[in-house]
Amino acid sequence: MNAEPLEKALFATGTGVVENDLSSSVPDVGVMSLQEEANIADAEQVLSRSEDPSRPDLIAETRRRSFANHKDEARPKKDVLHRHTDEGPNNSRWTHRKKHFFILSSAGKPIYSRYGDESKLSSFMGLIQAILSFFASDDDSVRCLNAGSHKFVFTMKGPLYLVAVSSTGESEAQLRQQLGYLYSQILFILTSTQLTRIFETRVNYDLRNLLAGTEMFLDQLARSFQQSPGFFLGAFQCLRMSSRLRQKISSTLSMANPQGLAFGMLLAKEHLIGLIRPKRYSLHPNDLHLLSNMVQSSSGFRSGETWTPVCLPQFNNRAFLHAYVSFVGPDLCFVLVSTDKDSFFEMSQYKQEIVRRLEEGACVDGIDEAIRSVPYSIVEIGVPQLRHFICKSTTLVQYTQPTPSPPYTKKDDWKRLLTVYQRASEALQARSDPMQMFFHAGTAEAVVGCVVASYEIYAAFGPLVSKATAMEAINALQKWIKRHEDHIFINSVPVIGGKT
Amino acid sequence: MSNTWKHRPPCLVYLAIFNPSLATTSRDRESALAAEDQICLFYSPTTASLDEKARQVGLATALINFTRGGHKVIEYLEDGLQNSILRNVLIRSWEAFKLFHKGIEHIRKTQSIEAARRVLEEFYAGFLPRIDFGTLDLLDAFDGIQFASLPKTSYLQVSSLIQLLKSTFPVLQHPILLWHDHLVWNGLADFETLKPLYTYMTDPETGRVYDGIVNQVKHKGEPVIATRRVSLKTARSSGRTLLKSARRGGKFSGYLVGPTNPGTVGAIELKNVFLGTTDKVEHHLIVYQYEEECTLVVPVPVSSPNKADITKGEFYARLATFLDNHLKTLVNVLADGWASARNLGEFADQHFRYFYYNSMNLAFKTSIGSYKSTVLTADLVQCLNSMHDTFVGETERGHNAVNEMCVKSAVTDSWVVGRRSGSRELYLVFPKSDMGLVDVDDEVKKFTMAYFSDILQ
Repeated sequence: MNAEPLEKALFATGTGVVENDLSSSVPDVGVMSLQEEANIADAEQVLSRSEDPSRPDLIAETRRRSFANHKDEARPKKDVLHRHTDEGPNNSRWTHRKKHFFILSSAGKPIYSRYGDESKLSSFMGLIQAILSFFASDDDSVRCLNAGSHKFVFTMKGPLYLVAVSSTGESEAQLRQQLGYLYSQILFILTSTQLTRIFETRVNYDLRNLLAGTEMFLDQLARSFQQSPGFFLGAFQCLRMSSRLRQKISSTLSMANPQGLAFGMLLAKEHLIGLIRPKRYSLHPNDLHLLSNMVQSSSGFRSGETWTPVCLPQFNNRAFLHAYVSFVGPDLCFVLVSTDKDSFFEMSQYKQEIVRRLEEGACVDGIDEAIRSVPYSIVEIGVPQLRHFICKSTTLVQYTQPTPSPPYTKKDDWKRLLTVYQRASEALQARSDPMQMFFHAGTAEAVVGCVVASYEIYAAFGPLVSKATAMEAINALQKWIKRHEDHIFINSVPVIGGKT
Repeated sequence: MSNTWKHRPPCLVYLAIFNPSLATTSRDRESALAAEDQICLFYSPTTASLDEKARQVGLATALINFTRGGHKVIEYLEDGLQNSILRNVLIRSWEAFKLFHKGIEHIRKTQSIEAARRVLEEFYAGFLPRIDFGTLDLLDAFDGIQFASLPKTSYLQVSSLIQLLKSTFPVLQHPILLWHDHLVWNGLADFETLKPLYTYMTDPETGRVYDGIVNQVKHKGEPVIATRRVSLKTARSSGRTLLKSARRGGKFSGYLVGPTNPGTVGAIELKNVFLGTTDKVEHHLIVYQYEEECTLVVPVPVSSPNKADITKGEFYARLATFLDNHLKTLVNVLADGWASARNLGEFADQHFRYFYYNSMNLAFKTSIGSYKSTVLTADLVQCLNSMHDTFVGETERGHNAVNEMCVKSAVTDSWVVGRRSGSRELYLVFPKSDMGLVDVDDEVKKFTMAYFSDILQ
């Protein structure tokens, strides 16, 4: 298994990628296992006792190297995240951050901090661990602390402690949900099997050994919580396009599916263009968020084809799948998830085939056009009172929203609106007493959230809007959504093996 | 875990009051426990072991240090309780403590730290059992003052009586007049100063057991003033009992605080409280109740020039005669004023479930629970609580204050509307309704136009 995939990859790459890029960014499985044997010490020792034939230790280690490479390479580019490693608890910039996330092991070893260098925070993490285990010794658990405007939310997941410290006004439940996403992100890299085994074998293990190079995933995720409503909605955003074009793409995707393909998707930035799934499974929006988050976290994926093990926690949190990532346009990206670790070549070929067919069917121009006209403007809806809206289909777990227009083009205003949406969504989705209608008027805007048939609609108005006007606007919006339903949502996801 | 929690109403596990600066600096291990005990001024339950105390106080100290990166250092743990309400209960207990004892620092200076510890323990042992942590609601959150509604002529009668009182007895410059638990006249500087005193006097627990202030002159176990409501659920002061009690014979008149027998010759023992918003000033307290209906509460500053008067028994006899004569007619005026206001508002009170509060003058008014038709289910009370919490939370953070919230429950089809305008908050509940947002808004408008037209737009 050593050198073969690399050769295959080199051989198979024909989509206009320069060969220089390849050697650094493509396929790591083989190359790394040759070079790095000496260095893998820690992880190897822990994991090599496993009877798992796919040897997740190597996979994780090689991927680690690979992301590290991506990171180095991508550094000059603008989308690379700056890690605030110079900050710490004694630094006023650190204490004034609005939202912190910390992850530590149950033994108190630091694993991740959103700001600052984890290793410099070890005493701080130790304190968190002490507090948590204090409660644990009473068969109790601390869930939330309120200190003035700050909320401290704690959660224990498997062998990990996750902590959020926030002054953003988000509720405990919302912060807890975000911690859940961060935990999923760790499983995405390690699987729950591997995570538990590591800590069963060695309680004191420093998990950063295995996660090094993937902090950017967690960073990107932590930032997305406050930029995209998809996380608290538990839904994904689709690229708006004509239903004819979408139909064409769908049928193209379902042609000639290779063996081992579990999920295939075509992404444009954070929008979903097309998806293909197995007959009996659907892709959970959380898993889709994680895949999309991975692709967006590193510009390394942009230069060539990547083959990397991933775990989709909602699909199966115990095993690795293998993701093929390839950009075929500046914003157009293929993500193919396979159950077979040796199917890089097949996936690559499948992608080429799809690209060829899309080109033949003149879909590429259509897609480019769709990408260019996204996100659409609120003006299109023709309801002048409406400042912004989100419509989520609860059955399809997809949502749509127009591009933020003033005043929401300013970062702070947008964050504030999202916080209100978040509160509305929490009220509508509450497990014990869910609301059917939510109206909120603040000094800056009025927000209506309501459940209509299979939709959740959230709409923002000026702060002085009358309720009659707001309801009229929502009715008009509903009509618009009905009319454009098949443009803004993917109504039917083709099934693998549906056509040949 | 969540299941078992759900069915058990919240209760107080422990409450500790401590001051880390009291610790001695000795660092040896044996004294560590003792040191924790030194910081700790009060701990409930008092049966807790020293070890347990040290643990919890140590934890709280750690949490405070831990969260000091933030801004405030008020800490409490929350589960199914609303923060803002719980905090208000704690603050209230502290205000009550300061009313009687000025503050821990004061006791420490005038007496000793041991005394402070003892006083705290006595105080909280009496105070904590009064709070039902399972049924906290907006009444606990606001802790407001019930105002008597009076027509202008009655108000002038009250005003003239107060003026007469002040000129006849120059030492009584800050009289407070209550009709049942309704405030008729406030002679103190502001409502914030009045609040702890008002809360204490109208608390149905006051007078039930000996507390060192109030005379035990009523029937055993009977509160000083029984009419205040303590929860939105119970309607202790349903209108009928108020009216009925006015016609029952054999009612108590006399000093609740002051000499039990006004004819006493010799020095009178004075009871003291501490009043003031920033600086607590010591006041002597005199409380006279007329026929269980009207209560005159007069704090006299210790520094008052005419102070000598109130140490003589003869003064109290004069005051009692004066009050008996004048309150006889005033009681009827107040009862009539109350009855007419009640009739005026009866339709609204029976048909709307509302809660109004003004933080400027601490006034509140509610129909919730007063009639059979206005009783609320526990989940709606909870919904009101969390709405209030949102209003408070958003205001504390400062940017984007919330002016209005309306929610409709998908399960019970009830609407809950909350509005906030400046210092005022108004909540309305419409249970089981098929109205839309616009209809509800119309109903709210109708309500405010009819009953709050003078104060809300």
